[in-house]
Amino acid sequence: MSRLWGGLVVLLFLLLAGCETVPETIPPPHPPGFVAMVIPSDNPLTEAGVALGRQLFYDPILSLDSTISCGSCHRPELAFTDGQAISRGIAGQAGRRSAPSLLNIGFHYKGVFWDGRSPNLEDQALHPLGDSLEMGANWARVARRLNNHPDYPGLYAKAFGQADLSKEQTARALAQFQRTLISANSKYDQVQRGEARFTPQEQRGWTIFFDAGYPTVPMAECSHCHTEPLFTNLEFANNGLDSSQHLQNFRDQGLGAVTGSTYDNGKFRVPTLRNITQTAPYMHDGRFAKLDEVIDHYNTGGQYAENVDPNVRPLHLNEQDKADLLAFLATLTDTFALNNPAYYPLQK
Amino acid sequence: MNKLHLSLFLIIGLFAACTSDEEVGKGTLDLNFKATYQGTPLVMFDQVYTYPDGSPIKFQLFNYYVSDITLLQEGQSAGDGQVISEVARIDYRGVYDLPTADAGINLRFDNVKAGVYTKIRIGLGLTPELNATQPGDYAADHPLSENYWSWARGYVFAKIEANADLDGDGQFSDKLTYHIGATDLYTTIELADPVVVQKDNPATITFSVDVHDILQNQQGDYLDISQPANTQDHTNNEAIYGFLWTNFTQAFGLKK
Repeated sequence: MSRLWGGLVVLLFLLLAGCETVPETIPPPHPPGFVAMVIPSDNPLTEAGVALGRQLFYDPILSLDSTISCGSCHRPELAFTDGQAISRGIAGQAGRRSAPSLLNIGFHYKGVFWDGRSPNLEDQALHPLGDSLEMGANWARVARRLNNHPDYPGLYAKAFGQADLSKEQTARALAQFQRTLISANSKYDQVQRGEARFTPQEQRGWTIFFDAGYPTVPMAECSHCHTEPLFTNLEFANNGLDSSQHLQNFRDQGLGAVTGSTYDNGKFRVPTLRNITQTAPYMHDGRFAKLDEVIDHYNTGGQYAENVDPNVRPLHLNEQDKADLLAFLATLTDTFALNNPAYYPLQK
Repeated sequence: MNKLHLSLFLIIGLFAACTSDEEVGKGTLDLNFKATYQGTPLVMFDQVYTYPDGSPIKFQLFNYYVSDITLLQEGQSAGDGQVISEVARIDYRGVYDLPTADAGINLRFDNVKAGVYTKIRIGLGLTPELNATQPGDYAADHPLSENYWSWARGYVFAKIEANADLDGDGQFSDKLTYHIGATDLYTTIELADPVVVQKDNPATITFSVDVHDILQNQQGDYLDISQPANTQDHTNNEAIYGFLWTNFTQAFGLKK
């Protein structure tokens, strides 16, 4: 009898030891009218994973000198940009490009970063950590800090079922949090849902934006690249910022530096226009301080290079047209997203 | 022991029989879509072509949707065939060199019912049912997650974008953008091409469209792109989109 009990105890022990706590998954955000996110099968969203990602996102523990976090350059009140033309990393070092908005970044599946060098958020999350101009962190050092932290070992265990504080799990948690950053409740969205109406000026701006009023209302050609519902087609384009007689001569080659094709030189990811009023300065290098300057750029048809997108052409917009277009763009501001407490650091 | 061997033998035999039955009934079919310009493979950016008026032209984008692709056996009508694809986008955006262009865009279908098919039916553009959907009905990486005109409540069926050098100064600065899409433009065509689909022997059907034949019809007509009004269209000027779409449906066919 005692041998039977002993056997049962051993069996129970083995069963329990074999069971890791598997966190319960939660569905990814899917606002009405939005496409469904494409999420890696090995990193589904979990409440614990998102919570860990949120804590890591705002924790300077991930930078070399513990001075900056992801949230330093991606501030929620600025639609997860930083208001700078070129972002600054540890010790005030200037980076290479402007910090792009992270709202709706979870829908991107054609590559992230301005130059598309990461295929997904799991890969992306590790780039700034190791970049000497950004967070400059040595992973071994970060891992020691995380392991010695009073909270992180438990948070990792809760998020992933085991306290493996690896680089990969850190990236997965950051990716999970970023996939929850949604902007889908602007006035534009409310109009789409029949909950609000555009003013006459906004409506005319909508018509100009979408080229929907031919031939009586001018066309601004915006919506070829800034397509609904994300207001980006997620592609890469040369939008005529720099004149270049030869495609090898771009100061910043953008996508071309990643693909190795000269025809991709000078191409950058088409950014979302959601919350565009909050994300100045504009373009990958922040060269335009105001939205008016952006519209003026497109109105001229941009600078010449052989691979400039053919949709970038002189627009012939007058001052009223530009004002109306701006009025429409302002309807893309989503104060619900900008003030969403779930996007801010957790208050302890 | 003999019973054990016998049991194992029976089980293996049963599995082998099941697998065999399932696999014999399926085969692989490749649909290959080639694009050319005056007979040479169509390459984005890298190649200079000649517009019908003699102007040099470089392409940046050519794409189109096909839908409701159906294989038909002898005597079958459209409704009886085997639908192998509801929708696909044939996109030459990333075709930057001749070998890639020569290879064409390939769609592989692995679970096609084995048999002898005599015709293939293909829709150019989107069926009315598909064109009534919206990007929000799909995952981000689905072909119908983009190319949507909310103001027109429908998708852009085809795009041609290029830069021309009209004044001969060596700069390709004259923009050409044609975006075509409307439910009533949807066109189905049936092409006779006997093909045998069988296990372990992939079959291929190759389609081809010559973009020059979209820009210039069989009577030699073409759009005068020295006139700014003819350099773009968003399916709002029938003289342009109707001309291009009709030419497209006539230029599309089996590769000879």
